[in-house]
Amino acid sequence: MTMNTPNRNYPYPEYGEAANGFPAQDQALATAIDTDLQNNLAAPIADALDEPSARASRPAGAQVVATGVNGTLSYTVENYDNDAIVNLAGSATNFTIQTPGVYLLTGSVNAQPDGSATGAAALIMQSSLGTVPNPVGSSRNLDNDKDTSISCTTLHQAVAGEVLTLFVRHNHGANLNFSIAQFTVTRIS
Amino acid sequence: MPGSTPNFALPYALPGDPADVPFFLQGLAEGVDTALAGLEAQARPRYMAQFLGTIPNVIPGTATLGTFTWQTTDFNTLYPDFFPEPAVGPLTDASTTALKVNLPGFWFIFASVQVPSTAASANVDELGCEILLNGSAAPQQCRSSTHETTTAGDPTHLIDASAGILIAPGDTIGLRGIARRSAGNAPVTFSRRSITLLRMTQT
Repeated sequence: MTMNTPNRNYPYPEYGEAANGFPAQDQALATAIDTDLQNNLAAPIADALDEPSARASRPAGAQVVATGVNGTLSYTVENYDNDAIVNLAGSATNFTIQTPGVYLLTGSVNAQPDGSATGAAALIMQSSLGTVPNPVGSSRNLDNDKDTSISCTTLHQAVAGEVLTLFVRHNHGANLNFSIAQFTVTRIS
Repeated sequence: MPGSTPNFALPYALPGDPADVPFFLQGLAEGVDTALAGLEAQARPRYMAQFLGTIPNVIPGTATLGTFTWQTTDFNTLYPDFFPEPAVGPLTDASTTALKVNLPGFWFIFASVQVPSTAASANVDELGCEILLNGSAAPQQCRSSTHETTTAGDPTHLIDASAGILIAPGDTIGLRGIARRSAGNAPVTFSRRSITLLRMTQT
């Protein structure tokens, strides 16, 4: 009769079992260990060493955003993506999570000056399941002749299929140009 | 001739082999030992490092940008049996500005810096920082800044920047201060700062 170890379920012959079962018992034990190590140690370790991650950016050019509306940032360059999170041909704005987990999110953008320092601008993270977490973002008062560079960072538990975006909003009173946007997502667990 | 398993090549006896149980048990035990040792080496905490800048860095009035120096290593993972160098660097002297990353991959970089409020008479319009790759902010990785440079009720500003960056071995990461003025040439002193590098992928 074949017995099994309590934790890993490895097979072994019961004491007194005929020794002529040896080759098959040896192969069964080796195969069980091999499968266990591969599925429960090697694969999770490999996944942890290469966490799903992506970054997209707009290194040049600007997006015009009207005052008092949410302007979802769009990107022109896919800098990195190892999990099909970004598909700029399909959407220039969306990061679609494929592997569920807790993600580290960070983004930044520059608001370009237009001669008036009126108002402030905010950079906010959003998911298709609602603003993340409730909300995460950062805001800065504007300047008349200097860029206003805004960044924000958070952790967020995302599900497969969830869409993450960044949007900006301002109360400048006139259109503002937003440039040098970047958005990074990387899974930590 | 013994067979072997598909993933870790653990040996086992086949029906035509001699029934030498001790020999085959030893082979299997040694195979498991080697496989587990290899997995243990891979399963250690990911490569990461954090450095602190403790010496105030001054951007003179003639400049708008100044790369920060790093003096202290908070942590810097090193597994010499796997790779002879630490994750980053190491720091060589108190004037180090470029942090050499020794392993490739997609790294998450987070940096923050403290900068005191400036006097209104200094005409400083913007205080900020930005992450450098190989000494350059072009293309821009991440920049963050504030125009609230003279807020009396907020004597110290904390500015942070972060980004994911694909890095090749030997690339360097740095952090640069920004001080833009509307007039004059007042110097700006940045105080304590930190930068954290976290390796998220291997390629």
